[in-house]
Amino acid sequence: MASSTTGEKKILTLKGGDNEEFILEESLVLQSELLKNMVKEERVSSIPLPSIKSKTLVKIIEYLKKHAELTPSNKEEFKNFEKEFVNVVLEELLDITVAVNYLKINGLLEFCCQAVADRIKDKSVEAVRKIFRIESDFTPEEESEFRKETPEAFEGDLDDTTN
Amino acid sequence: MSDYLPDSLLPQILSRLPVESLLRFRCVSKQWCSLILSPNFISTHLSHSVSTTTTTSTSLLLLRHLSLKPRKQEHYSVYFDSSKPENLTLVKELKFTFKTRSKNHFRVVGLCNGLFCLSDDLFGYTYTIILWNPAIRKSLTLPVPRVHFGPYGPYMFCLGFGFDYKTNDHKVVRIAYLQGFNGAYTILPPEVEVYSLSTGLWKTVNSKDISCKIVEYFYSSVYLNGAIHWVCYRKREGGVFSNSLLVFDLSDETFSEMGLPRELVHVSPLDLTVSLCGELISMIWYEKGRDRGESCDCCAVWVMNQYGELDSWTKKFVVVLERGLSHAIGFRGNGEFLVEKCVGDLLSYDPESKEFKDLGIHGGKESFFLSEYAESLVLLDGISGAAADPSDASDSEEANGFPPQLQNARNEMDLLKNWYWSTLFAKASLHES
Repeated sequence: MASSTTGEKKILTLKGGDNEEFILEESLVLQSELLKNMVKEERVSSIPLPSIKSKTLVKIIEYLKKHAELTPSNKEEFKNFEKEFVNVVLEELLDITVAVNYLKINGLLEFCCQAVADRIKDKSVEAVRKIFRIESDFTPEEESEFRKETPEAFEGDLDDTTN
Repeated sequence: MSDYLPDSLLPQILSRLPVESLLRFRCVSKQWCSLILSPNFISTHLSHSVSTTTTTSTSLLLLRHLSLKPRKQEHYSVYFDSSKPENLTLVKELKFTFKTRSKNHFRVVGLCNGLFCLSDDLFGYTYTIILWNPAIRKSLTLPVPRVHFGPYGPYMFCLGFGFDYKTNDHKVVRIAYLQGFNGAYTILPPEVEVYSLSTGLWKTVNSKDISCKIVEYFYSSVYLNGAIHWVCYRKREGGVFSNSLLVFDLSDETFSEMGLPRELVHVSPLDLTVSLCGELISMIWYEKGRDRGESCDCCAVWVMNQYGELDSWTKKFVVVLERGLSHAIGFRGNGEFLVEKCVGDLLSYDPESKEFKDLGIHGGKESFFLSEYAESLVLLDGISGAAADPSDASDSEEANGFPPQLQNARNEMDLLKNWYWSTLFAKASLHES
């Protein structure tokens, strides 16, 4: 796509993993350190982001728009939006967090990391392995050493779900 | 580890987890385990847990007291420090398994980043100093410092504990005053040693700039802004005291002094305590002398509103308690001030309404210690030989706070104990020195 302007606003196209195109104002994507560098240094007008699902990209663009509108008077509204923003299934939240990390949107990254942490803090070891797609490489004996060392960390109502 | 998450992202998520979750998630995989145990991760986690406790309303308060019935036992209790003036809500009791040799209780030298520094010197001539992180149930007994009775003869010492931001290291400072010809611990400058958690060793520090003394046994110390502060004094001709704060910068490892409010410069240093009011240095003065039973009914509280600015010392309030105030314990986050009544009851004082509230906690005399609390992973990496807490079922020497490497010191100490007791109270009184 050729570089174009409507009025004085520069327009940029982002291409999601499934080739879906998102046309938006260049000023919005400057919140991403990665895209900012691409736009400034290479003067591109279309950026392919094959590793990011379109569904995830939709969410992130939604955030960028809201964040750009943030003023001292709608701070409360923005906080509520943030709360809703991370209120998605855990797998989707991780997709968003990975994408935000890749795009280097720093404020949002901190917020997403905290949201993931809040969601997994009461999970069982097994649930965490499933969520992060990890195979255990500890022997059962090694594992029971940890349990013996700090039994209280393994007691109580632990959450076995992956949501 | 799957390639699901990029390597740089995992620490950013995990460093925002509570300590208990991280202890559990060590089991997830070897990669998670080695990340959680790495010194870099532990300090990143520390910076997050410190910043969340100061920005949220869910800060925690640690209160130590010695219960007397049904048996003498030290309690380390964590409370929610809500901003409302309601009673303290117990979150949990920390499992305390150390045994004191003094038959009294440990001195809490300080609590910093979830790490306690305990010293078994109330009252006895011991070298046992323990760093203890209850959240991960790990502790470490410090080696014997260079200055001890064997080569140096009698001395008095005081301690301080804090965190050096520049090197990300926890440090214990020990100032030892040797005995002069007159029998008092007057030799200046004192011998100063600093223990660093990262090296696991004591090292001698230049102390030539110290020209003041510190009250024996009943000294107080406070850690703030990367420095430790003790009340110190000089005795001028004619027996007039001149008091100030001795300040040790944990990064530069240098000493300086900071002035006190004018009204407190010439009072007896035995009646002064340094404390913290949130992030401000605070001074407490027992106007009628400290610990004089029922006649001691008030104390005055100052705060230094701008750190290091002498003009910013402000008298906040005077606590007046009829029938005896044993001692002031410290501030809660909501501005309430905790004091101990002579009989050992814990009271909360509201400076606005000037009202007292009995918190229903009863403890041994002068056994209360109050501080902010946040859990951390410090000591989890075990770089300095941290061991799991001694089990309370064990009656070994180790459970008595005496690891094998201190056994020689222990024998020496048994010889010293009687001698020390006999001299303690003769030396404690400054008025007669």
